[in-house]
Amino acid sequence: MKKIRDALAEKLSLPKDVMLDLPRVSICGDKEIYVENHKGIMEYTNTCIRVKTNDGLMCIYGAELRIVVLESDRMVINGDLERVEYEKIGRKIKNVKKNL
Amino acid sequence: MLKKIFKFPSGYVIIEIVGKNKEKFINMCLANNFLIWDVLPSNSGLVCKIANSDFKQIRRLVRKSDVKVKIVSKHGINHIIKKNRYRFMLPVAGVLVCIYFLIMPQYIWCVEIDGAKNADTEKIYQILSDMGVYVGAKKSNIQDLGDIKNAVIFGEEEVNWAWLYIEGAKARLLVQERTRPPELESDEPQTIIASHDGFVRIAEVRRGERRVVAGDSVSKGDVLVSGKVAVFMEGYPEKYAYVNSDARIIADTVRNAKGTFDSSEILRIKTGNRKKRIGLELFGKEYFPIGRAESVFEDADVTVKNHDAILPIVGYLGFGINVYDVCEVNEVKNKLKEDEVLCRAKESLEEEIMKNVGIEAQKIDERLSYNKDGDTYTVKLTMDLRENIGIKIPQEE
Repeated sequence: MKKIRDALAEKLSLPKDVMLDLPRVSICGDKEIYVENHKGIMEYTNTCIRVKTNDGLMCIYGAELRIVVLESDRMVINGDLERVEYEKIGRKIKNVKKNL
Repeated sequence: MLKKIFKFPSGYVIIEIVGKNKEKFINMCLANNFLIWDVLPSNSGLVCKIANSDFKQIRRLVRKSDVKVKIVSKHGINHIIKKNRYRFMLPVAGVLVCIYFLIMPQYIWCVEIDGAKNADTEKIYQILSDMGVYVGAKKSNIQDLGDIKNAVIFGEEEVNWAWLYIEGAKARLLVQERTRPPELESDEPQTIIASHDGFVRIAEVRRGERRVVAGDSVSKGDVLVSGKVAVFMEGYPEKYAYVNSDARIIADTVRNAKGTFDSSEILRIKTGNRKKRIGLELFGKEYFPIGRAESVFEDADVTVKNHDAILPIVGYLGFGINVYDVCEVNEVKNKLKEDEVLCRAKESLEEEIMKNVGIEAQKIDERLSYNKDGDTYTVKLTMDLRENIGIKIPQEE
């Protein structure tokens, strides 16, 4: 089903975050990260915040990390961001998606 | 910040979540649409804020997620009310303050007169009092400010115009004083005499009989222009006209001034010790709750800053605070150099001479001589001036 949606989104040029229920992530420099369509937090410390998404886990590393806005479908994280990683549940699939 | 303000009336609780599944608890709160904000990691878990109404419903989630929730602090109006429920005097004081702010501005608690220098302020206060403007008068009883203003203008002759402003609990009368016209010269016969010894340079006589010309030397009291003018011809009976003499007699004069001056002066040096005293001004009277400013140090310089309680619409509320800044000073004797003593002496003596000189005076030259006796200087200043030496005196008929 997911593959069909993926193909459909590809063919019809539809936004994948809508079709596949993927998280939409916006990063402002190395200070703020805005996550929409998350599924909850898995870990929250000063240096690491792991956010659950439909596509797996999104790990945000940095210093003095703070969740300044936390709502059921969106969150805003502030702090000195270092890197963002994506993990499939169970295994790490993509190391260092973006080094900041 | 805005959330804090908006949530304050309904109240919120700061909680600390401790346990293994603290993130799960947060997720469950979000899933149940419980509003939580300002989620921060702490030493032992997570700290967050939750609305009062939601806090009552999280017990189920706490059990499910197997965490411990501890209240760190409670905020909001309902918590304040609950906390102070046995303090009966607090609402009473609040009500009294409200009554104060409602009632006090309805009365005049201070009457001020601005701009009066020569006018008799006591008389003006009396006039205002008669017209109903006095400390303790009800503002609603003051009907027509124009009548009060007119009463002041007609009642005190030194007042040319006045404006009365009611600013909260303060009545302020702004006074424009009458400017007296210069006294016109009388037509009485007058003679011009020399006010000082001198050598006449210019003698312009406009009215009267000339007695001196340019180049004459005159002594103090000599008649320069006589008001008694002969109006007869030789061989005819003597006949005189008495006029008000008018002339410009410019002469070179020499004026002296002498004085003794000490070579030491007293300086007031600040020691650095400084204290503040508060004066509470209440309805025109001042009270000192922690002592008067003068009694703080033996010798001190005091500066005062006045802060009146004024609200934008209500105006002056009848009270204010005077902050006295008291700086301790020590008097130190300072020895002046000879140059400094002579400079100060010269300034002082010049001032003394210039007080007595006539109009149109110009300094031509000056000489300073002095004798020193220990710390005391006897200084003599001689000034060569060019001035109008004529002064008028009545002419006897």
